[in-house]
Amino acid sequence: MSKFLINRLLWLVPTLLAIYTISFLMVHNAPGSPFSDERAISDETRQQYERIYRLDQPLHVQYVMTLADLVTLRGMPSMKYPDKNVVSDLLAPAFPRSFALGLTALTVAALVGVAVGSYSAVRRYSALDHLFTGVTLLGVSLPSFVIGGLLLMIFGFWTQLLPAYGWGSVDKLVLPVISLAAFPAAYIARLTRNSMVDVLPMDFVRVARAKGVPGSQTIVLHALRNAFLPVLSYLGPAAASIFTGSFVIETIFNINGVGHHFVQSALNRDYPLILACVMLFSTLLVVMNLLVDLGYAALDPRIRYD
Amino acid sequence: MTEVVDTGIETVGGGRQRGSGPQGEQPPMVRSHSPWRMAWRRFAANRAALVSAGVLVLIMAACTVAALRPQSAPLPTEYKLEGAGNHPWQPSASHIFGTDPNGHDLLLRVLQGGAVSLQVGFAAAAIAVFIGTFYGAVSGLMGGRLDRWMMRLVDVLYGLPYIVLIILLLVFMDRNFVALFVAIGAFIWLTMARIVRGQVLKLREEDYVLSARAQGAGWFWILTRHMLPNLVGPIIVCATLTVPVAILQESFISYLGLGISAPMTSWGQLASEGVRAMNPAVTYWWLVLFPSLMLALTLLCLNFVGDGLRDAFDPRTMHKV
Repeated sequence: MSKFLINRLLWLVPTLLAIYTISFLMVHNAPGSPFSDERAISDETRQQYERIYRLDQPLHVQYVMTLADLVTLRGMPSMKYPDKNVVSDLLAPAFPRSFALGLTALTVAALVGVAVGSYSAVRRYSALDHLFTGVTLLGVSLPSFVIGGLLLMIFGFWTQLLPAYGWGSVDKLVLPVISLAAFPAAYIARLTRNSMVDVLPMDFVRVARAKGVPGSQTIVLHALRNAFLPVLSYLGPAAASIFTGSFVIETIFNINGVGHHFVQSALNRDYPLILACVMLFSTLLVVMNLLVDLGYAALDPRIRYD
Repeated sequence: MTEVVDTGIETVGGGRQRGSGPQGEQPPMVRSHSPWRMAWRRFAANRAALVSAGVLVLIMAACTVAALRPQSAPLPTEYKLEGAGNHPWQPSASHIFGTDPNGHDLLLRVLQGGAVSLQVGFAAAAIAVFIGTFYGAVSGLMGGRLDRWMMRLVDVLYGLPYIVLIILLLVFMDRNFVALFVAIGAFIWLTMARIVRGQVLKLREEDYVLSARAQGAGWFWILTRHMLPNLVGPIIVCATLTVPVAILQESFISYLGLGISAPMTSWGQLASEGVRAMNPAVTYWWLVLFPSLMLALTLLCLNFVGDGLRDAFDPRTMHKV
């Protein structure tokens, strides 16, 4: 097990390096310059900018130095806001917000999704199962800005039951969490239903029932434990993308999160910020995938990594 | 699985069914009891999928008719005077969806937008089928080191926040159809490649493939003759489920303001314009509701059809139908 862990941790390095290399090359080979749409600037200013951002250096020097900055979390000055450091001024203050919102939404989504999916599988073809199937299909068919927009319209503007904007208290979290959780909850419910339907007729479930294990215990401890594996593999990548914020939800509900930076950095061609965002996401993703693999081993004793 | 007795539908005699048979839900003209025929039967037995397929055909027909109408039909003067600017008309008897902020009939706009959304979806599915199938088949067939590296590349591409790269691609290309197709297609084939590779790996171990190899068949022959007929099912299912994903991605791109440019529009474009036009004082609910409804209805139908096709093609689920 420890050998597997060390092996996997060592593999993280080349994987992240490959991702860094691809994004670095893509960003630097993209035509246009971050300064091109600003007002005309003098050659002197341009040279000064290029020195600050090391654009006057050969590509391989930029490659190594930017990597060093990212690894040491020093970051670089943003090209759009030159007085701001990409990591400490832009990402670090925004990330806890996105992370808190994302973690709440993903927890809600996992709980609701697994419960709904299990119920649908156990009571297959019942009226509620048909209803859930329809609702979850709708959930994976609606863009998040539509869900967010409609919720905002109904609860924020018309009935004014909940605050429409802002950050800082629990009631302000309700609408963004629901909008953010809707898609993953529906997706997890569908995953759970499918895999529960496969697991429930299996022999070990029947044996558990025959031994007299209570119904709910059979479903949760025996069937769900096995049926949860596909959900677990979905949760890894989903966590990485939800924890790094949602541009849509953040703009609709006026929350200052990192999802905003992901989109704006690319729109502004803010090279340092793009690279920092990509590496933040990718690092989270590989770590989450590692956790998923460990979770697999914990849930299914047949899986051994040695 | 019990043999289904054919009810004597006319068959086209002669040639044996090959992998490159007719696509889609249409019953292929083949001898009775072929896998195609049985798949069609299972699909037709699924009422939700069948109805969804019908609704989809209707939506596509309506969108095509609307798209063929002139782009900017002249508006009645009264609408130009009163409905122009920032105050769209509410739904009424003459405009059941209301109008958009420019005074255009929203129903017509929604149908025209649907044509773009559907084209994006189907083009993305086509890209996924071509690139994904080729990549996955080569990876699965070659095996060994090449397979490992090809799949590692897919893993790395999966590990990139693709929306950042899509924006980069879009910012540097003109906002047109081709740019949208390239940007969405660049990452949409990854899932297909994984599915096809997995299936090829499984088929490689089948006895009939071994038998073909023993008789000296080359890999190309084995792929086209023996594997492709078994791959078509998963490929069709994956392609059907790729369409909704691509349409959702297009709507997200539209929300960012990088979507198709006016006077063309799409469901995502219309819905996001509606969401952006909202403020605490006035909400033009119809601007959000109707494009979203059409989008959701279409995606719902596509998902139902995809599920139905999966049940129809996946032999594992035969007993469940």
